[in-house]
Amino acid sequence: MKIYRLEKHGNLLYTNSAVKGNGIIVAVKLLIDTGSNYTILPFETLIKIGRDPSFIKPTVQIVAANSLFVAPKVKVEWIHAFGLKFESFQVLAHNLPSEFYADGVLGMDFLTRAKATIDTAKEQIYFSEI
Amino acid sequence: MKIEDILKQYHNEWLLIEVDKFDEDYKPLEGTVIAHSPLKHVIYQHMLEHNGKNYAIEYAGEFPEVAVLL
Repeated sequence: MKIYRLEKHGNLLYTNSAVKGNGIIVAVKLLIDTGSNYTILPFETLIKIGRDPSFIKPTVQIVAANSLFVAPKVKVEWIHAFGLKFESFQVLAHNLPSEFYADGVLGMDFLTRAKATIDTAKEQIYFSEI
Repeated sequence: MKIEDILKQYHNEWLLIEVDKFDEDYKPLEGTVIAHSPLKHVIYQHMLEHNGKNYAIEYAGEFPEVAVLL
């Protein structure tokens, strides 16, 4: 079993991650969010790695706590977190508010595929099959 | 320069760092500061305008706790 320490701010848990495209790697800080179907990255990060989401379809309708909006779905060359690298991984393009500590969100699409178990008390995440 | 040393030099600012070295988990270890600002979107803009290879966006300082509801 592999165990990784998560970064805690307030009651929220974060991790370092990285995405690659076009020969460029951008390291990002992501909120661990079991309430999100999708992993979300900012527009500028995706543009930088050659995946400009501005004119991309399909889009996905996002239901947030107090709003409803549409975000483009973009495929990155790979995304890496917790020693796992998933290739051709689809993420949503959306900029979180500037007051938000993270660049984006690591959602259930990644966490489920990774078979992750999160221990909120210990601020750790476990992967039993890697 | 080591990232941990870079972070000590700034106070409550977002940093755009061109990364020279990652660890095996792509956590940035060494790099050079390209831009710094209290505003995250300013840092993103600098990243688009810079012609480098590998980047990290870091916050230097203790991030203020905000209520988050997504």
